[in-house]
Amino acid sequence: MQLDITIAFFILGALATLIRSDIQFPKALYQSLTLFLMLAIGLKGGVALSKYGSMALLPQSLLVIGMGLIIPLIAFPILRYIGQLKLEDAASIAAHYGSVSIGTYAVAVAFLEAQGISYEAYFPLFVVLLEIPAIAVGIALARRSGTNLKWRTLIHEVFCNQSLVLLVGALIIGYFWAERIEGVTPLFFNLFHGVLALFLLEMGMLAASRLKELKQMGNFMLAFGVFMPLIGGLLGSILGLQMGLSSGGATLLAVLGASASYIAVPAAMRVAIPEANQSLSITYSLAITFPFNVLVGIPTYALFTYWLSN
Amino acid sequence: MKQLTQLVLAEKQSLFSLVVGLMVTTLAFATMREGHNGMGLLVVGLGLLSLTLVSIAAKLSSKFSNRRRTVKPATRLQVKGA
Repeated sequence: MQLDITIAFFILGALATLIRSDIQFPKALYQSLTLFLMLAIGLKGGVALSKYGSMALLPQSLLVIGMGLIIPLIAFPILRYIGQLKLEDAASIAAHYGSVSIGTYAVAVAFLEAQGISYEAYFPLFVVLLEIPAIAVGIALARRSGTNLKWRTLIHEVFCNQSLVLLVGALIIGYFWAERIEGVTPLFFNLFHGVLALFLLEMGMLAASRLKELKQMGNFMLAFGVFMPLIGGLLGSILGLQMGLSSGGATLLAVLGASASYIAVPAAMRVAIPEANQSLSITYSLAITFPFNVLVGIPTYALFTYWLSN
Repeated sequence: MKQLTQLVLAEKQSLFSLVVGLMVTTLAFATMREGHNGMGLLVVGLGLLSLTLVSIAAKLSSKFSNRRRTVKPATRLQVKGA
């Protein structure tokens, strides 16, 4: 399978940083691109829900939430007992891996569309559902150390963070205004790949800028950042096929299982586990797992699904 | 056997990296055998394996050099006493 054109922009961004090019990517533009991707994904999901939404989605949703609870529980003992990380750090990183990355999901959608593989268009619903359970598990694991929580601030961070508000908001808008979606189609749907390319250019630069931290932290970090997405991907692929999803759908669920959050969870963890080293979690998810998923992981998960379904 | 168990316990992280490296390399070969592009996986797997082996080798060599340093003064004293 050939690399998608959007991935080439990720490589360009990483190379530009490695050769110390002076590309300036305005922070506001990065935030705008993230916002755009969330709205586009949510709208697409909302429109699909209005067409195909049924009660059959309820058991599927529960299984997806279950996956979001299990993944951090796999990650935590590895980080704590093999990686010998502090309890708070292990809990925080485990929560990042249980949640999802919108960027990785967007790349997976572009990959499936480029390969002509169809998938269940209501998937953004699962993206929304996977945002929260891992945060709850992360907090429960960290509470063992007697961390005091500021519940009100935490609930606000969990339910009012930008990715959840924008995704849920766009899902609702797409669901109720599905017949008038043509009005926003040129911006949100037609420009999706171009915006994703720009987003990946910035992500490439961000990931490469964290390589220094990676050098200092040793091989375990690298191994864990590769191991967890493969396990999450395999789990997602098996679950997707058991749920009766199409091969594209099972691949997307694998991608959701494999990805690690770098937007919603860090904000929640900063409040929930202030003792944890947030920079460490971001390095794991952004400098190792995100590039691995984008460059190598997504086609591998498609292959997992192919192998398991045959 | 006891020494091996101690080594494994002390080098849990390296062992984990080694296992993951082997797993990814095997996956890469399985992918390529099916006619798909497994080069990315192969690079990741071999990279991880080589980095881990280099770090294990560095740790072992530093252990041995420390041992040699502690042994040397004792032999000198023995020679003087004789």
